[in-house]
Amino acid sequence: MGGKGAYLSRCGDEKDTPNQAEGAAVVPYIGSSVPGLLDSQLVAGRGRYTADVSLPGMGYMAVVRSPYAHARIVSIDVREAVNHPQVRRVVTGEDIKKLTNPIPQGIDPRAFGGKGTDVYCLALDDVRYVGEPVAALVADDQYAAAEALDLIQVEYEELPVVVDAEKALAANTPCLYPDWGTNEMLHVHFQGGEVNTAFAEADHVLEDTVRMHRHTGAPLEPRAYVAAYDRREGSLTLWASTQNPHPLRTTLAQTLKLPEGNIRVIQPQVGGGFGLKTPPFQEEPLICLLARLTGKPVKWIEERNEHLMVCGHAREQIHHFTVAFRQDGTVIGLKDRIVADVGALSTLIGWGMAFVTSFVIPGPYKIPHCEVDLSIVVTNKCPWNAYRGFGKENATFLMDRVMDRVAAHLGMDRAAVRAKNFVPPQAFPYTQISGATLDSGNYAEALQTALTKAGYENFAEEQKRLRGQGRYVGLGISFELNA
Amino acid sequence: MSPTGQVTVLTGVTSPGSGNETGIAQIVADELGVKLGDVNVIQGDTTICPYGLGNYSSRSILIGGSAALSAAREIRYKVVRVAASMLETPPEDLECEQGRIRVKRQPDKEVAFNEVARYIYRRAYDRHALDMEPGLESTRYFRMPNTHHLPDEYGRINAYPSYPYAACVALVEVDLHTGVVTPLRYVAVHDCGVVINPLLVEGQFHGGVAQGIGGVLYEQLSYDENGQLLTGTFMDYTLPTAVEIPPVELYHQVTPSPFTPLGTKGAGESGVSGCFGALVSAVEDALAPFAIQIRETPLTPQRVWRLIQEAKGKSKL
Repeated sequence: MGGKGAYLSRCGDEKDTPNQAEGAAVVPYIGSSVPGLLDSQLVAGRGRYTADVSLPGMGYMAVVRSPYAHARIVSIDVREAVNHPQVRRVVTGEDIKKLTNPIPQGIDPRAFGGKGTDVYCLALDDVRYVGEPVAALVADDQYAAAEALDLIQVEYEELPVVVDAEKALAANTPCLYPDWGTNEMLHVHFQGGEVNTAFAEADHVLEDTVRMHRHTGAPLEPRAYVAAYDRREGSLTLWASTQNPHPLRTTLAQTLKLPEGNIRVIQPQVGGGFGLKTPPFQEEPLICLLARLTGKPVKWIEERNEHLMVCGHAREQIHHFTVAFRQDGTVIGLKDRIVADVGALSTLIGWGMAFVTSFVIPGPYKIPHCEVDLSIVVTNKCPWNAYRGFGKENATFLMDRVMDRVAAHLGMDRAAVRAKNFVPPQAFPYTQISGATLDSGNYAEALQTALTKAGYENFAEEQKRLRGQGRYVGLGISFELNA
Repeated sequence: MSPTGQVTVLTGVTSPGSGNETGIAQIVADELGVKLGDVNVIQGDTTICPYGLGNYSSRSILIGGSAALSAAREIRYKVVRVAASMLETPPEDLECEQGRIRVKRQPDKEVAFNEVARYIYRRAYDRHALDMEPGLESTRYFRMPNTHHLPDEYGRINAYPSYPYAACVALVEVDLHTGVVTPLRYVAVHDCGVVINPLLVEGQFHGGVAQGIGGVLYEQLSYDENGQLLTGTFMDYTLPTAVEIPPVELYHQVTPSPFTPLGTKGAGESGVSGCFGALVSAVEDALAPFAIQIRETPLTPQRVWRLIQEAKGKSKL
């Protein structure tokens, strides 16, 4: 389970494709670099994506989105849009409240003792981020749909905007959800060992802050849906660029009050997901409702600016950490205070990434005394959505910074400090303070190999030589722990 | 398995374009001993496929592949028993390879999968298939033995079935005059346990590195104080292209997971996380003469240039 059975091979090595060796006995497909079975189709441009689905009489959806980060909807006047000759149907929050249930949330913070609120397909009263869906329409084509959007008049009353998560926690800051009495959606605390004793006994204690910024994934194919409702059968079919067709079907049944057996979700080929195509999105039941109300198929392909504005963001966290260590580089204690800015609450699972960050600290390191304190905070920004890494990247970055700071403080080698603190091969399975149980590995060997392959031993010399030429090159180390 | 010996895998895990259909087919083909070309994987249709939670959290091979493995194992068990009767040999003396079931060390004594499959479907009440449920279909789920969401006596849970990892080394060059950071090399030793398909894992990792480097150097969703998004198009939300991504030199270390039937771990998230620490550390190392400390991402030219200027200013004092 540790290093004993470990072996190493370079990608592209001969032994990666053993079953192709001539004259040799047929050996397993497992372990072999078989080309992707769909490659010839996808590479030749013969893939079939949701945008390729076209049905007779199909209309196009467009969504009115809030131009304000925080405002109250005073009134919505849809008369002009309804009278547009190519508009088939307009819906607002009022219709949604009558026709649908709240959308069951991917992870409802209320189930974990946090604060929450019901979320429908459209905003009912207040909008809490730029781009939040306020109304929607279906028209005969995309152009008419875009044109008719401008005919919907929404009157807003602006409310105070909160964009800084640390300020959002201050007592006098306005609350996004006044009935919460706070902007903290959920507080998480993990503690293990004797943290205060460890800090008292340490040779050194060091304190610092790291901030990771907000960004997201941008799959080649943005979100895409085609919904068709058969009135005779009472059945709904949704073609969706989704990662999770069955959970999406369940969500549609619950939201639209339809028997689940009457719903079919078809996932054509997907042009990248990275976590971002994890339901439920508000637009999913919304487009199905519009197909049902109009009796004709409806299509929606997310625009790129919509994707960046509303499909979901990730990563924005602040870590104030304190680390206790011995003169020899052994880290004995870690305290981390995390503030995660998860944007407004939505149906998406994204805020769970902040929990995961706290869950996987201290990553691959054996640090017996740890305390992790996390505030998951709402602000008037786009809600978080799952993005590859799902919070582990923040924890990895934190631990890399911790190890580099300890090394710098002691004048020790960065790799040596990591090696000193790794969970050793014989300790697996190893349970961290949160309960995260690391399965197997040989971390030190992996790092040593990476350093060797990168030419670490001679790098300092090369660096010095290049500096002489006015060139500034550097080498950095990370040890990422995924799940 | 159909009467012609063709295998169809209907699975609740889906592919977002990452190739897990190929990995699942490899697992099933190996377990049954049939040709890869005889395995067809169908995903992404709620009416056709069994209920599954889809694709997330590096679970498609780990969970979907393990479920497919145990379904294939069940089919193989039936096929081998019938073949044993046909070949008048105990089942344990048989081996399956490339669609044929052979008696070990007697290469001429064999029967093809399709003959056995046809027999099971068409002659369920005849000599070789007596006392066996007809049909060659199996539906299996996979339950990870080590995941638990019910807190233990210390309040701990184990949210994930596996913890793959990678040791990463980045080499960068920093332009002192502009603050531009250029990644030169990215070397990684990755462990996702037993690798089903190195090519596909490498593809996952390369994509992860591209997203990680994009994240640490180029991509930023900025808001103003009114909560207006300032980077809402690809003009200002700058994704890296192939030009910005250095060669990724990837090596596999394999420490099998003791908790999965094949020793696999997840691989879908690998490659992203290490970029932040590795590049930030590399930039600090490149600028060691200025003793700068980076506490915030992204490493835009403006931020790096400012850090250099601040350091220069301090050294003058």
